[in-house]
Formats: sequence, structure tokens, C-alpha cells
Amino acid sequence: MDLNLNHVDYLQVGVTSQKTMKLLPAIGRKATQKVAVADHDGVVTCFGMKKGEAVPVFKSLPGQKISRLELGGALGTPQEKIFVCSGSEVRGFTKKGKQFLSFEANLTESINAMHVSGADLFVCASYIYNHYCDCKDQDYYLSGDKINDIVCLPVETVGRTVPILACQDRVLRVLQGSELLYDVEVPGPPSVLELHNKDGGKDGEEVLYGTADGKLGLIKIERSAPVTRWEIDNKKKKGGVLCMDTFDILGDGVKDILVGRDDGTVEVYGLDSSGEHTLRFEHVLSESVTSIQGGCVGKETFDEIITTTYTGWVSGLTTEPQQMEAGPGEEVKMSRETQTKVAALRAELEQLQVKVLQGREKYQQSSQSSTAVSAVPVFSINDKFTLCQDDASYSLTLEVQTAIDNLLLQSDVPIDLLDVDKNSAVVSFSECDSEPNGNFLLATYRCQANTTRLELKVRSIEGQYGTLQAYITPRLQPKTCQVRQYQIKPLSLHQRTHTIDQDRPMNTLSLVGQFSFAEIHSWVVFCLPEVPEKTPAGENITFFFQNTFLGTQLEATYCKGEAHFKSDNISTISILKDVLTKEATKRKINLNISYEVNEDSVNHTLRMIHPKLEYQLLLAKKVQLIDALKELQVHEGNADFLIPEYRSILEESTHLLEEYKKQPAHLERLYGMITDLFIDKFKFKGQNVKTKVSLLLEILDNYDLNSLIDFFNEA
Amino acid sequence: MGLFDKLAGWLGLKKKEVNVLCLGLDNSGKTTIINQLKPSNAQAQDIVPTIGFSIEKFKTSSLSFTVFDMSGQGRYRNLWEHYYKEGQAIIFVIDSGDKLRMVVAKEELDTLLNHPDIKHRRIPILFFANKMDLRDALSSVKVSQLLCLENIKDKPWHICASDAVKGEGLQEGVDWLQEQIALSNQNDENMRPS
Repeated sequence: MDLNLNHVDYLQVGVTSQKTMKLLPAIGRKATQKVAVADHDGVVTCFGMKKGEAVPVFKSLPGQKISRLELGGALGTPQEKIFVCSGSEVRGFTKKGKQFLSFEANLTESINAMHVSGADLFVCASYIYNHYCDCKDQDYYLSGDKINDIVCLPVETVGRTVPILACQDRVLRVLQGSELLYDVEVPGPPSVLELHNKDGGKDGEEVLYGTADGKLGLIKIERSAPVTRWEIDNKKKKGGVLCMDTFDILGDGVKDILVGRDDGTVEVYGLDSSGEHTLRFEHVLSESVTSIQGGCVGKETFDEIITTTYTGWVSGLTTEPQQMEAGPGEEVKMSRETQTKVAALRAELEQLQVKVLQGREKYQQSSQSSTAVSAVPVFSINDKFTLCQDDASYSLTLEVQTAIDNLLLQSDVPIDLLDVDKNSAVVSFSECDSEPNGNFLLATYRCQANTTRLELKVRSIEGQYGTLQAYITPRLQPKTCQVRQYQIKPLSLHQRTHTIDQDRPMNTLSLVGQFSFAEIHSWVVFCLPEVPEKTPAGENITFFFQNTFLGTQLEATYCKGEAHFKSDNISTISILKDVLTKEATKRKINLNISYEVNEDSVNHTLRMIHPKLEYQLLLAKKVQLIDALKELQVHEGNADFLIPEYRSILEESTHLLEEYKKQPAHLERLYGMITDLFIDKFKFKGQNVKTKVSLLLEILDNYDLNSLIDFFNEA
Repeated sequence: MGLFDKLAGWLGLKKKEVNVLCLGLDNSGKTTIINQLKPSNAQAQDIVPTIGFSIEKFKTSSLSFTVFDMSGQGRYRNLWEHYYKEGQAIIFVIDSGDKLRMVVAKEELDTLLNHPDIKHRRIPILFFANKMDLRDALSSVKVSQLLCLENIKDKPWHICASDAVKGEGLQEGVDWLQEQIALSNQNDENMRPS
């Protein structure tokens, strides 16, 4: 059965954070539920729908930005107390809007995740986890990386308190008291956790997770070890998961999984009796979905999915049919509700227009004053700069609460901007002279009307580091602009992993000197992405990385006064050496650098590049032929006389062209990497081989792996 | 019409009576709809398939309806035409979850519309796209497309999605029917020589 859901808008509140909307449990049987939603203005709004109109139950006063909203209550009773956290404070409201709790957690950072279970309160700031019982401190844990979400297994069924933290470094940390019980590796940085079936399944131990790179999974947290039930890959490159819920929207008796993503996709995964999941419904909203819930709000007995978007639209995807009446006549009749809505909006708009006009006149007059200062309107930007694993590029997403007018991108390192299909914005590249002012890229995106979200793809080169700046101008009066800066790190294409293959030929770089643990850590943060900014606890630390472009790896181990880096790619070691020396010189620290080059590693790296290079060369060759072959085909009427090889090229021509377009400068980039490898290899031997680069390029033009390896060995 | 009757009519004491035919295939929900329109104390609890036909009455603000609730089963459908003459309005009920028999409903509707007793009379037809609470129910617009309702040119018609068990959507339909009957009465009175 296919699912048909209709989109209805209910109410707009301010900008919302992740997981800030919940449905209050229904009173009595089958009645409609109330919605509680909190926004960045600090306002908690609770409303119900009555005949298509949002009727507020209560609305709190504005305050600090609210980062989470959870429901709670005494165990065994309906969970209808509303808890919100803003700053380092947790507040509780009854369903009528009476504030009964105000608890200052006394954390230095602001709370960004919270879980409520009876009298137990679990809060997480960036790295800190705290457990309070009746507002008394119980447990404390300091995580190695940023905490994104927290969930606890239900105490009623499990019989003990098991908090699970979702951490940025791709692990779920399962705690026991103040100690780490064990950690679970997941395929991406987990961004959201939810109990399966709302109660953790039969044993209460099943936890759903969603990752920032769009994967989903179900894990059973058993007493001693985790069991992975299933994982859903993100092959279609959909956005990161921001919220999840379980609710039986299909009506087949099994709870389905509702997923909301940061590119606006809402999905329903149905589970059949054997636990297999299939995608049953998909809908795309234009903004990122921050909260999702299943329930019944608009009209009783019609189940629906309630979503909240970043800009604060609370809307429903309902099973209720929309057009209820029709009659003869050409034009589509508007229902009475729509008509009243249009009339109300029109009246409101007219009033506002008059008001704005008056306000603008006043502003114009007062802006003539010499002592007055014109204040700039503040708007919030939701931005994300992440490395995509599959295509070794960075994706930059920007989301503004109002429509974007234009976006200017400036970079002081050479980067490529790749096309994104979803983008409707018009790009124009300005010519820039990189010599005097270090400008390598100047691009302007002019957005179509009502675009609040923009997604860009950026590809960087390893070794070239600097900043990428984005100037965002929304459609607001007066026009203002905000700047955001993104660091492109020296080893920008490296991604954190859990383990590496130790059998590869490794080159090592060792640093010994008078530096502290914090200092060396800050240098590593400067060099590599996905490393927590906070200095890790303990004496020494090891991180593993993988190059997303080539698949080569890096192991970084360091402690106070000593650091070791191991990689099977000489270029990686060379870049690290250059950058670290520069950093140390800046701080006037004497470094003792020693390195060990493994002769096999170069051949190994060349072999890793080989399939990519061969594929690109073949692709380029085929694409070159397409036009000529097409002309022949047109002349002769068919392609039967061609040899099979050419015929297959013709058949696949659209696919080949698409591939070719998708990977601009891929070949040049590979050439660049090989040249770097060549130079770096001899640099470690103390030779300068820059003069031989032209010879190398010649060999690459008539590429053959063996002759290339020979050239590398001989020169 | 006697003077007293007229007076009573003006004062709204006596409601005008209309005969309505309720048609549709079996299991489309005709009896349930009629039952739902009756005052709550007169409503039946159990509804069983109608045999032959039954006569039901209910009142709205200005009219009192007499409904011939016809059985929709195949063997009773030939009974329908005997009552066409009496009908001043038609309620045609469709099971919007039953995609398979939508063509049968269309066929029955076409025979109805082409019947000599109906063809040249301008009587209002109200369609109920019933059982809209079902997950796989068609929308009222989709039903009107499948039944080719846009081809009805000489009669006023209206389609409403309804859920007869809950009574949703019925009031809107009956309101429209009332309006149409009031309209046609005015026309009748205007045409009558005074």
C-alpha cells in the first residue's frame, strides 16, 4: 500500500533548534493532541488545532535561546510535563503553562542535549555529561569529543540507569554511573538518538541512531556488548538526520520510523514482521526539518506526521483528504477555510504595509541625524561545512530564517566549486588576480525567490590551507550582510576512522621538543579536520585518519614533548612536516624532526592511485570520441557498421558525459598528486627534482603503471 | 394550497416536504448516512443490508425529507426506477475505497441519468464520496473524475467527501441540497401564474 499524505501548515514560531517540538499525550480517547514547541527567542508555545485555527494554550515569555524540549512526568503516569533547556538552565512547565521548576545546572557551557526520566535529569553540554536526581548531582562524565544527543534506556523495563551519549567522533558511549561501560562504533557522526518504538522494544534495549551524513541504524545495547540490528546506507546522498520518531502512520500495527533530514526530506520507513525496513513515503520540504513527531493534531482520527522546520513552521503531513467538496464549473473551488485564510492574510498584509511605510519614513528622517547610530538587524544562520566521504569534497550548507538574496564566496586557497543539482541559484565567477591579494576564488550566488537554504560543494587540494569566507545577504530591509569563515585545513581530505590497516608500508615522522600536550594538540587541530578542539584527557592520544580521495591512511600519536605520525603516503608526511615546522617556528619552539621513509610506500601509493587514474584516462578518451561517433551515426542512419567498442561508447554516451561533467579537473588533480608525491619523495632524500617534472608529465600523458614506477625509482 | 397552509409555511411552522432517493451500490453506506442524519434518539444501533427498500424521514432547518433508502444489491437495483418519478432530489453514495467497482457505479449512474423519468428533469444530485476515513480512499475530486461528473451539464450536482460512521461531511452535503431545493421552489413559484 502506498501512503498518501497531504501537507498542512499550522503555525509559525521563531527559529528552532533540533528536537524542540513534542506532542503532548492526548487526553481521553482519540482526541486531538496539543503541540509544544520552543524557539530561539526563548518562547515555549503550546497550541491545539480547532477548526483549522491554531488556538494557543499558553505562551511563555521570551528569554534565552532554547536548545531542547523534552516531555517528562512521574514514571507510570502520562508524560505531560514540558521541560526546556536554555543556557545552563532547565525549566519545567505543566501542560497548562505553569512553571514549576527552574533549575540552574551551573555548567560553564550551555546545555545542548537533555533527557528526562521521572525525577532523573540528564543534561549534556559540549563535552560534559551530568546526571541529576531531584536536582541533586549524581554522576558526571567528560567525553572525548562533542556530545550531540543523549538518551537513556527506560528504567521501568531495564531496571538500571543506562545513559547513551552520541559523540561527534563516530561513537556512542554507553555509561554506567560516572564511568564508561563501553563504546559503540557507528558509520558516521551520530546526531540523534531515539528509543526504538518509544520504549526501546521488548527488552527496552533497542536504540535508533541517525548520523550527520545521513545514515540510520538500530543497535541493541546489551549489558556487556552492543548488537547491531541493521543499518541503512545513504546512497542517494540525502542530508544529515536531525530528528527521528517511531509511530504507526501506515496503520499496519507495527510502528514505523519517521525521519527528518537537514535537506528538508521527510521519510517513513515501514518495518515488516521480520524486521526488514523499506522506504514507504518521502516528502521534501524546502527547509531543514528540526523536529518530527507522529500523532494526531489537525482532526481527530486522522493520523499525521508533525514537523518543525528551521524557520519555525509547524506543519503536518496528514492522512486527511484535503479537497472535500466539488461541483460543476471549471475553476477549482476554494474551501471555506482557505477563503477565510486568504481574506485574513490580505487584511493583515494591508495593515502591515501601512505600518512599515510609516516606520520607514520615520527611519529615513531619523537617519539624517548626525549623532544617531543605525543598528543592524540580527538574523541567524544555520551553517554546516562537512567532508563528504564518497566524493572527497566539502559540502557547505547555509540556511537563513528569511529568503537569501545573494551569497558571496571568497577563498584565499585554490578550490573548485562543484555543481549541485538541487541549487537553483545563479552563479557568477568574478575574475580575480591571485598574485597581489591572495584571492583565488570570488563567486556570487544570486538566489531565486524564497530560497532559504543553499547547498554548495567545494573541493580543496591537500596541502593548500587557508580560509573560505561566505558573505550572506538576506532579503531584509535594511540590507545587511553577515560573514562566516571556514577553515580549509592542510590535510583537508582526511577523515577520522576507528582503525587502520597496519600491514601497509609506513613512513614515519617524529617530533621531539619542548612543547606541551595542549600545544601539540592545537597543531593537530590546525592540520586535520574532525579533531575535538578541547585537549583530550590523559597523557597521550592516538587518532586514526583516512584520506577520502586516495584511501591512504594516517596515524597520529602524541603526548607532551613527543609526537609520531605514520602514513603510507609520503605527501601526507611532507605536508605535516612543513606545517608543523611553520607552527613551531611561529611560537619559537625548537623541534627535533626525524623521519623514516619506507621505499615501498611510494610504489604502494602509486598502485592505489592507478585504478582511479586509469578510469579517468579511459573516460576522457571515450568522451573525446563521442562527438565524432555521433556525427557518423547521424550520417549513416545507424551505428551497425561500427566496431562493438565504439557502439558501446555510443550507447553509454549520456552516462559518460554525465560522469565527465561530475568530475571536472579530476585528472589534473591526480596528476598534481603524483607530481607532489614525486617531489616529496626526493625532498626527503635531500634532492630537488623540480626540473624533472616536465619529464614526469610526459610519462603521465602516455600513462603506464610500470614505466611510471620505473621513472620514480630511477630519477 | 390553502391560506392556512401558506401562512404556516411563511411563518416556518410547517416544513415543506421533499422526497429524496438514496441510491448507490451495495455496501456503499446509504443506510448509515441516512441513519446518521436522523436525530440521535431515533438512530438505529445496528445496520444490516437493506432488503428491497425502506422509507426514512428526517428534518432539517427548513425542510422535512422523506428518503427512499434503496437496496444497492444487484438483484434489487431494478427496483430503483419505480421511484424515479417521486424523487425530487437524488443522493448518490459511492464507496471511495472501492476502486474496483467504481466502473459499476459509473454504469449505474449513467443508466440513471439516461432514464426517461430523470433525463429531462432538472433535479439536484448530491454525491457522497463515502468512507473517506479509509487510508486508501480516493479523494472527492478523483471520484468525480472517475465518474465523469463534469459531463452532467443540465442538472446541479455536488460531491462531498464523507465519513458516515462519524457523520463528517454529511451536513455540508445536506446544506447544499436544501439550498438547491429552496432555489427550485422559488423558480416554481415564480413560474406559476398568480
